[in-house]
Amino acid sequence: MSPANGNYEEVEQRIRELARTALEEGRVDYFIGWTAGYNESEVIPGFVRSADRVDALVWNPLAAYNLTAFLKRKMPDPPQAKIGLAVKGCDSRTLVSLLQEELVDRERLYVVGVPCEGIVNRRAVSKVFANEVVKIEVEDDTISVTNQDGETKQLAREEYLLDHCRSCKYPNPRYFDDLAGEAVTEPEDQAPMWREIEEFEALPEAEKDRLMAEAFEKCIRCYACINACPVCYCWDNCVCRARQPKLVSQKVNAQENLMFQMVHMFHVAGRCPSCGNCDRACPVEIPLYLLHRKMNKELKEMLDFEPGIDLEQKPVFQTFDVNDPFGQH
Amino acid sequence: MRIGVFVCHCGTNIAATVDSEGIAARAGELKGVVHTEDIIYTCSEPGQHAIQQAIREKNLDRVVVAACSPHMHEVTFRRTVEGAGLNPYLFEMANIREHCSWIHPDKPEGSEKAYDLIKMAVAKVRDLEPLYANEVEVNKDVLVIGGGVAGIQTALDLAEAGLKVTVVEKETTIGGTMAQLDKTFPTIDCSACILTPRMVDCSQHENIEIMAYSEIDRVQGYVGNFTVDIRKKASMVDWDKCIGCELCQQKCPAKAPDAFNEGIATTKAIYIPFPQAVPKKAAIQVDYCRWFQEGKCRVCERVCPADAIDYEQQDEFVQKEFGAIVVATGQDVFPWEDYYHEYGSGRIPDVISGLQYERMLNASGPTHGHVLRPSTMGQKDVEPEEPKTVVFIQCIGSRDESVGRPYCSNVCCMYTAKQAILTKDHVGMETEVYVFYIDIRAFGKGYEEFVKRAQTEFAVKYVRGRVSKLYEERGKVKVRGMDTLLGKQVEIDADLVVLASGITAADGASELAQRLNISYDQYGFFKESHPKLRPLETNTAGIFLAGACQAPKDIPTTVAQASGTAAKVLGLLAKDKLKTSPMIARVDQNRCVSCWKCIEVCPFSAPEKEELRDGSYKSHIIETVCQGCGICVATCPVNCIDLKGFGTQSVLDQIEEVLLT
Amino acid sequence: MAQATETATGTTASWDGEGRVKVVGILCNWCSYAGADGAGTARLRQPFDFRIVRVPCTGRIDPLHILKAFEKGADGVLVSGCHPGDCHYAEGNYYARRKLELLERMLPQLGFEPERFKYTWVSASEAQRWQQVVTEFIKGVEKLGPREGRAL
Repeated sequence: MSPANGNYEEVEQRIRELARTALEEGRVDYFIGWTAGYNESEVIPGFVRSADRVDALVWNPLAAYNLTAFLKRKMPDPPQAKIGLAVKGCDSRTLVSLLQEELVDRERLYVVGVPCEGIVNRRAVSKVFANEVVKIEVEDDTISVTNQDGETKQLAREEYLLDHCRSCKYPNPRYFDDLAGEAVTEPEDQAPMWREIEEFEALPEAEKDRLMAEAFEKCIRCYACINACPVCYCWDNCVCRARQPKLVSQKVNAQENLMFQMVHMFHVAGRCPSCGNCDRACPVEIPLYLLHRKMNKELKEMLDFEPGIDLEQKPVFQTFDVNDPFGQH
Repeated sequence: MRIGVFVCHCGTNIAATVDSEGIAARAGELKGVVHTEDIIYTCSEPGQHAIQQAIREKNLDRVVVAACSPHMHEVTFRRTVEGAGLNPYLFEMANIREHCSWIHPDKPEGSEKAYDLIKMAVAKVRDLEPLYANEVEVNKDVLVIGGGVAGIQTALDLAEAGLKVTVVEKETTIGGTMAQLDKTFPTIDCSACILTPRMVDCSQHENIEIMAYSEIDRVQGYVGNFTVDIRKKASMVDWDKCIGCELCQQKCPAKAPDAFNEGIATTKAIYIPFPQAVPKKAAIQVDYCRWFQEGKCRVCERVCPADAIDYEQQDEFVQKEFGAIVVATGQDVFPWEDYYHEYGSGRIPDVISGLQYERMLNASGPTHGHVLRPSTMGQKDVEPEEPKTVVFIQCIGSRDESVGRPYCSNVCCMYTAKQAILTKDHVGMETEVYVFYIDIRAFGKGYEEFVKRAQTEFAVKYVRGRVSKLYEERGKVKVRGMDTLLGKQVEIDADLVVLASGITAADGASELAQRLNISYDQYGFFKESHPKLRPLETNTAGIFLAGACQAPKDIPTTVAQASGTAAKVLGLLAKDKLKTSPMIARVDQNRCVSCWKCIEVCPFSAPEKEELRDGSYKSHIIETVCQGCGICVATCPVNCIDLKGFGTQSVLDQIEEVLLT
Repeated sequence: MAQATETATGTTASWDGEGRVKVVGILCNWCSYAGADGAGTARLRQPFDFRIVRVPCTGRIDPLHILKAFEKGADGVLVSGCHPGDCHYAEGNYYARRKLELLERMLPQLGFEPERFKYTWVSASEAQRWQQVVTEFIKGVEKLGPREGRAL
């Protein structure tokens, strides 16, 4: 990821303008964007329903939330609402996945693409102080973190970006109606980086087993991961909460929790570009990326496939090639 | 729930290594089981009667039979329980024979595993629900693929019974391999005299349509309702106009290899394979035609009195509907040249295959029935010679692991005896005729006597042993082999060597099998549903087999099987409606999230979008279209589709039951 | 024909016995189940620690069923269907192949030794191949022994 150009304000203005025009012209009923959190360390999703409220929209390297999560089938309210929303590069890939499967109605969407230069790993940054962080600012290659006592620390930006931002191949949205600002330079031929995955893979089986058990023991089955997941859409009918077939019991233990997560993983396989919404939503910090990034690493190897890149492509598990290069005998 | 468990001894087949009595008693402890019984032969009349009696007396509502494979007797026992008034789908088999007693010699182990298999079946039967078959309308037209003697016989039998039959033949004429034969064993009656009238019957029958020079492109649908795309290959001749006068063939200046004569003669680029061809229509082999290769000629167009030549002709696709399909695609001759390098790989002119020799013996063949040494044929100033010593070698591409053909081709012993006799007949009794054989397999009616006649009456010398090498020396073919009865080396200077090439699966058989969704074995022969119980059916309902496409067969067996197959088809199509399996997918629309993944993956287009009263759309499976594969079930993220008879919960319950010991 | 198919101890007749492993097979009805039938008819001896669940088609198998088997205590799971191109339902094994391949690649991430899962194709006429596949697979699982203290 290249160092930040720092033109966040320019892009932010552009997002506001595009949202305002769309609202004024009645092209959308509401616009989903990022808005300020309760202090300056955080940016949260916000729904803007009138043109005079567009100044609430913000754009900065804390805007982690993948807003396509609000497009889930049957979620929009009212059901026929026309929706505007802002998407980063990775967010747009989930949108492409949803469009491939016709799970969202293209006609009712207005998509503002936002070129992205990397999102701060807020969870990591907020741990540099023992007490509460109230402000995170990014300037050039430095992240300034301030705590409630007014103390400030400077961090190297590169080290505190989200994992998948560090090796991001698609910083510009793959799909949009209007682009807010100019596209950022895409890294040339960057191979997807799987460093964290490879490190984990190298562990002995027993150790992986132990780490998984440890991680999943903590799961409280709050379902935040699947609720925040943009491509998971079964809602009330989720098989994890069904009585029959009983794939997952409601018991909270490492096995059942892991089983629950495997259901999620297999259901988003080939559709999840690992946007990280689930990781960030998890209140007990389960490293879910170990599953979904691993899955994408394998899909890349198996089928040279990356989710959410090509609108015309069929989801990989709803099609096949008689010459698939595995399982020949 | 009142489950009855019946454990079979199968005589000693099961009871020798499984304590049927003991595990039947133990099965009484399983949840829901109210009756257990061990039976010596459960499938026998008293066995089935015992089940029915128990259902009535103990008021059973589920039945488990622990016996052989469900592929063997599932249908039998479903009928049994139905006979006692129970829904036939409230039944499950535990396969304690093929999957247990026959593979585990240790009785305590075998019994333990058999008990586990019963537990699994009980777990499954608890999840079953009554199912009721649907009915579909039946199309009564039949497709016969292949116009050899098998296809002809099936087609004629079916047509005589009043069904409309379409025969699709890949060559330009029907007749198949039998049309190439000179005489048939053991009667030495003329092959053409038997076959050609049947070919004509076929072409003249009002219920038979012959589509020659055509191939099967795609098969969709299911028993009673197949939709088949047939590709009519471009013959470059308008067959509606062609009168079969052969003028084009006579005038055509371009030579081409003669497949009908097995390459021992040439034909023309435009050709009719043989005079009695049905339909008798010409076709151009474009690879050899001067117009197609060099851009000049068009002689055939000029001489054709019917104006039938059409150089622009393209393949044509026809779609037809059928209720049943008979596969009768026959066999090919084993390509010995590619395998037997010790016999010269086809480079020695006087070493030929049995079918080539057959053409030579035939009066309408390239030598007009004269037996000649190929090395002396077609040369200037050389008078074609008759052989004085002829050697036959059997089991070429049969019973030979080293060429990947361990099976017996069934016909070679007999056709060799026939050809040996005909050699004496055509060339003269003084001709020396040797047959190298491994074993003589003369199992049919009149066969053994026929071989004896060759040996005694015609003095054919049978040498038990294998020929190790053939090579040319001083205008002869040196035959070097072993007489294993005398235990000594044999060397013969032969003028002609005939290799009894065996039968191999027809070229393209596996591709056709894949198009039809039928099974085939490692050699490419199509697999019958059961070798004894269902030898004419495939595992795909509505698709039947006839002739050598299933395994090497002689003509009497082929014809008998073909008529048997016709009877099977008639039995199927005698009904106006067919019951379809109720073991199909069903959607719980309350839980469907309308993601339509089921529609994406179904190979049969069974799921559809159904509009509900509230205006929403949910998935719905068309019952008569669904084949019960369950791909949609494994794809549906909410698992709101389930497969009746193979429910997800029942799969999980079987696994859980057997693991939680 | 290989007869060395006895289990590690071969003494106790219980699946729960010492050194015993529990292996579940999920087989398609048309090819592999029939192939296993053929192996039985030919009296080809096979390991004892193996229980077969019959399904119509490998396309009917959800990778989650396999994970569920592991969760319930299976030490190994073997899936077998028709060879690619030979599916009774034309396409089921092609869909299955993608899912099962992903599962096979994911299992080590959860701490599974690769020998604990295999998917393969055995036709109805390949009785000997079936014997070989099941024997080798179970040998591999036996070498690892039962799964203990596992995450899943």
